[in-house]
Amino acid sequence: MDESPANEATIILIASTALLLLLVITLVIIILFQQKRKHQHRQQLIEIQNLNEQALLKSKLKIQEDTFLAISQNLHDNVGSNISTAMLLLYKDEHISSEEIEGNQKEVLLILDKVVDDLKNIARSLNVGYLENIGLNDAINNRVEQLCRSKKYKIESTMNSMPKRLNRQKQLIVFYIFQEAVTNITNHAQAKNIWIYLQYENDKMIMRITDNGIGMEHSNPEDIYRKGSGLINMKNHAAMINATLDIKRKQPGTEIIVTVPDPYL
Amino acid sequence: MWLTLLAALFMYSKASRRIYRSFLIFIILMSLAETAGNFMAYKKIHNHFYFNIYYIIQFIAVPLFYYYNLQSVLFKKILRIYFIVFPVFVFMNIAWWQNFNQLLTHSFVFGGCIILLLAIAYIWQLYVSDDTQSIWHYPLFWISLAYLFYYTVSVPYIGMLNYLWLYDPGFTKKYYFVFNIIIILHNFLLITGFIWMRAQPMKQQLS
Repeated sequence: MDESPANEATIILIASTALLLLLVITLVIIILFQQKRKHQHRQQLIEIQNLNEQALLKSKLKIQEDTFLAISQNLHDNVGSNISTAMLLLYKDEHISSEEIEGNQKEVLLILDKVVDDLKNIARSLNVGYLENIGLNDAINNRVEQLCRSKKYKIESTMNSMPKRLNRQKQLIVFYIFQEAVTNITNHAQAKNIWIYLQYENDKMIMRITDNGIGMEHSNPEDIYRKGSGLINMKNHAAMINATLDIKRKQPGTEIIVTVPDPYL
Repeated sequence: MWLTLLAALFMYSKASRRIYRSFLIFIILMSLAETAGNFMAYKKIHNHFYFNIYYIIQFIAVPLFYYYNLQSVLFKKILRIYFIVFPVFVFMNIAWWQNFNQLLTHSFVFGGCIILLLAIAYIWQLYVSDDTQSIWHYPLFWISLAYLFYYTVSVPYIGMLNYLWLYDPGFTKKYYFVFNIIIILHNFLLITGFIWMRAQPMKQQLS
């Protein structure tokens, strides 16, 4: 075998070049492969984010729909009937004495005052940034007031003041769950009493909505299906903000507990 | 090489960044210089001194291009030191180890290794970046690949060229064929990089 320096040099050259090329090609392949995986992962994240945004949009629309329904009920039950009463009171008859007319006018003024208050509330709830402007507590209180006015339910609400401003998305989802739970109660539960409990802590918030209705087991099958899909929706929405949603059967009624971790972040 | 020159000329007006246009000008000038160097070889004129100048310019300009594209503070520091050390190294190379009429292979190995390191650093920068755009869409990814392949083969070859010419000129000529394949690959990758230099349409942002 020829072991001349030139031969050694050529072997070194070929070996080192081949080794370096192999290293470079391996490195490039690994980086490309990993980058492709990373890119796919990012795409999946974007898709999840888009789905979340879509779900959030749906929640906003649902809240808006529920608000419009509540407004129409309010207009019909309170504003409409109050104005009708006021009109009746203003009706002048030759048999009515001037003292009675004076008394009626005073009552009309009181009714109109109430109507103005109702219209102000309606105008406020029609605002696009309604929830963001007034905050979760006041939004829930407004809904509670509307329900109380229907005189069908006795509602007790307990809530402490929030230490910080809630995260916009979390606030929206919690309000959506609240609306959905209240809709379930008013449509299917046949309850007389509703208890709403909202507690803010430093690292979590807890919302409890309890009713004394017929509960799930006594609902008719169609109601269970509707309630069930509503509950699934609530669970899905809770999952979007890493919150937990528990449903407890009470004797009588149902209790929904939502726990939101880090509600201010 | 001429295809690269034409691609660089064609893409000059379409390049989206000023730094890309500067790089394209550099490639155009270097391609013309290389053509002149090859013409000298064809006319049997000794051209090693000429290619020494050519490579010294390349070993300053290419790292400078990376200096503006790398985000790592460490690499920027290394490059600032390199811009002082490399001319000193070339001077020492000419003064003590090799003369200017033969290829300055030590300087080539030094400069080539730095460009290899910078190419790997840039590909790594792209890999770890949070950008959602695919790595293929970056012109400098292709340019880095071009330099990576070119210097991986040329550093050992040119590093030993003077020695090989002396002891085994036959093999050196044959090996030049392998080197040419890498030059073709290098130019092909450069052209791909130039194509990605054109202004990209803005991705629609989802609000």
